[in-house]
Amino acid sequence: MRLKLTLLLIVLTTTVWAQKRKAPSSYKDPFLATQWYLGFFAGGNLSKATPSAAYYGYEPLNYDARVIGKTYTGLKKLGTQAGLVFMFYTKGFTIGLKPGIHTYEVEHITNANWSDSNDPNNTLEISYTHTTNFNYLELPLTVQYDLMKGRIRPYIGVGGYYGLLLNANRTVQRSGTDAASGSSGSFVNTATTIGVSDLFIKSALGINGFVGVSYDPGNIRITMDVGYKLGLNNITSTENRYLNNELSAIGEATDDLSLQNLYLNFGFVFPLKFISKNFDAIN
Amino acid sequence: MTTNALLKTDNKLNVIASLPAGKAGAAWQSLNKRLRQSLLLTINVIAKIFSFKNLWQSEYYNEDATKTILFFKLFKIRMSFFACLAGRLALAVPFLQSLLRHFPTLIRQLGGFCSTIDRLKRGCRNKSGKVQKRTVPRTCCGVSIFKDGTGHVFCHFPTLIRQLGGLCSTTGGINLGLNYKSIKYIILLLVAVSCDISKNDVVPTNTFTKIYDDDRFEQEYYPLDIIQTTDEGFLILSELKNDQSLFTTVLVVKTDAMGAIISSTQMASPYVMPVNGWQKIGESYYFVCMDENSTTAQLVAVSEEGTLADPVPLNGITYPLAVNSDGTQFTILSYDNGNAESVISVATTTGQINQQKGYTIGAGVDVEKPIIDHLTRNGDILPFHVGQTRDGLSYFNGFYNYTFSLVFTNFGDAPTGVCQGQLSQGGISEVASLGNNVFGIARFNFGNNYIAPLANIPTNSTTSSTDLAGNTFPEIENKSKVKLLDVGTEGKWLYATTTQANQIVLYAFNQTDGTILGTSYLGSGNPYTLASVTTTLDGGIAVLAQTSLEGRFRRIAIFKRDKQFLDGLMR
Repeated sequence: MRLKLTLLLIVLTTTVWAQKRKAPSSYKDPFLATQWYLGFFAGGNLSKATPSAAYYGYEPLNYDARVIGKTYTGLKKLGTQAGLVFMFYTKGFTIGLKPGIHTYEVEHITNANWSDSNDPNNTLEISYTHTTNFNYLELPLTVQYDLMKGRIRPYIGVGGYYGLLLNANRTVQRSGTDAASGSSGSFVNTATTIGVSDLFIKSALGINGFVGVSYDPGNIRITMDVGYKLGLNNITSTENRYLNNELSAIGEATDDLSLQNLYLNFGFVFPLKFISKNFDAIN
Repeated sequence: MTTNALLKTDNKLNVIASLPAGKAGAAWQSLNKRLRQSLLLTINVIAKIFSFKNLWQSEYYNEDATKTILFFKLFKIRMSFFACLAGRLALAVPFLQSLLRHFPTLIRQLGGFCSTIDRLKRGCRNKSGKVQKRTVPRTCCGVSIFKDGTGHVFCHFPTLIRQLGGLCSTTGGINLGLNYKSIKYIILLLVAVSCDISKNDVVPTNTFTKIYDDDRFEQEYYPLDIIQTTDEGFLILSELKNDQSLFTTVLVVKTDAMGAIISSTQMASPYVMPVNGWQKIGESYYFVCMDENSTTAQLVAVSEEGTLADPVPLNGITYPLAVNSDGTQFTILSYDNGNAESVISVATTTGQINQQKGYTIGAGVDVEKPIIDHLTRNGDILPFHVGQTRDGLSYFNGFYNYTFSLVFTNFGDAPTGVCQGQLSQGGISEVASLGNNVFGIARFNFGNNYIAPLANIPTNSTTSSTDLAGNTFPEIENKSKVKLLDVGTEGKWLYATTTQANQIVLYAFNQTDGTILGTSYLGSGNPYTLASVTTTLDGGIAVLAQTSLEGRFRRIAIFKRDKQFLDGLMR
């Protein structure tokens, strides 16, 4: 597979070089008012999960479940994304379809405390750090507008996406203080990872907005954009919320969640229309 | 539940469709048999769709002169699955169409020839609506409306092919093939992919795991039994052990269908030591506990809402060990420490003792010690049990004549039959009657555990539990509690117990030939010990267990599993 991809990139590079842009003619054919692009993108992201309702694996008999206290840390964990770009350009507007694999990581922390009614010094305080990793196949559809003409073009855009969950797993790090065992110091246990795909539904819908800039060194466009994705639906499977034994055992049930995401993408796209070598493929 | 003019479902999800009598019925009967069946099925499916319930399917068809009855069976896959599947299949269609349409062009570009261009030359309408011949597409993308009325969006990528080293001309190219049908499929696709979003608002009453925590270090919960109430919630009976009392205290928890706590009631002193389980008589739920001052058994009625009535003393019954009911009165096993006897009694809901008989456990403190250890929860928890066989004979599983034995009695001076154990180290750990001296049992013997789904135990003679057939299950924890359920009317046993790995294990057996049907394990992350198991109104089960949070805090846990889980286990 790697060999095929390498060969494909070599061929593309060769042909792009071979058809290096010539000086544009003064004649503007309507045919040249549009352009198709094909390329690829890759980048990184910082994600956060926003709970709309909290749920707990423990049903407390003598305290309020909220004591368990879930804390979501936002835009802390780095994820990555990569995929293909199909774009259609006309009159400053570009419609893009950018299917790709997106990896998101979000983190939240839960707590559990026990103390002896007869001896307040007998306490056990545990903190569980949950890092959930999502892999989505996303199909975004975007519209962007070039703010300037020329080789360097800043642009702004909006869009929506549909994400298909491919896999989800969770790493749980247990730490705390066990005063009941005679220790006043803290401890950190080895993290464990479990599959949690069943705790989430397959679909994720959202919208995004972005700003970016593209540069045309010659029959290729190099793009860089920064955007923000806003998940619109609850990605947690409400039916399977309490299904995972490992998480129930530490008082965790999956909250109603939507994902938000700040991303940075770099892309390389190639124009597809070359009717004649006398015409500029981009302008 | 779904009802209409043609069909009706009961609450066990069986559907019976009755046809109207008279002219309508006669007209109906005149239709083709297969057509009638199809129509009824269609109506049923529509009814199910609009009631958002599961899809039903006709299983077989039967009719007589005046009435047609259709039997339906729950189809295991939800309607939503079909909707999603249809949408996802629709995804493939435009791609296949497109592939077939593009293929000739690709062949030509690879050096062959094809006739795609001919189709494009069939013509398209200009702005005035006139159909005109179109030879070479001037633009790379456009819309054509052909004579046959089909629309077509076409795009060409000759340059791409050339860039990849292929041969092409501007008259050729790849045709994306987006037509009216494709748009329809895409709309279907959008509907399909959002299936799980639109349906993602389920209250998880069918399957869940719940742990009932207490943040007090010194509290230890020993759950005993669970029963589902008519509101689909649960009543949990538990012992609560703390360092303030010799005996465990009583805790009753009422939950909703999701296992969320509605109320929890801890009985104050002197009421302690609840025994093995819930008994339902009439609209009330009962359990038996003990007055720690007088050691007299107490009968406590609990409402469906979890409200406890004042305890009713069962005078003459001390140190209760087990209780059962036949739906009208209680059979209670207790220990009389004054006479060193195991006592079996029959009592009413008002506390009146109708029958009672004691049988010696043998002389000496060594015999009594396991009972005291059991009562104070400082030793082995022994599987005391009491009940009636299907033939109406009473029995108890307890100490008799120095051994832990299964004792059959008609309340005479001597038991009618005894199946002896091995002191307190061997005996029967669970028993349920099938009638005619046939029992489903589990037994233990010096660390080994056996299950015998079809054991023949004479009720009128003395035998030994070691003579009973049964397969050994080394994975079962020694002396662990075993619960045996007669599930449904299909002749299946469900055994539940604890493994040496501290998980709950469920075994399903066929009652007719004793073959094992399935095995399933519950619980991970924490150690779990079985307390009880019960069937639920939705056809599933609820398993009550004790778990140890962080390996040290003994708490109550519930595993609720749905009918699909149970059916899979029993298959």
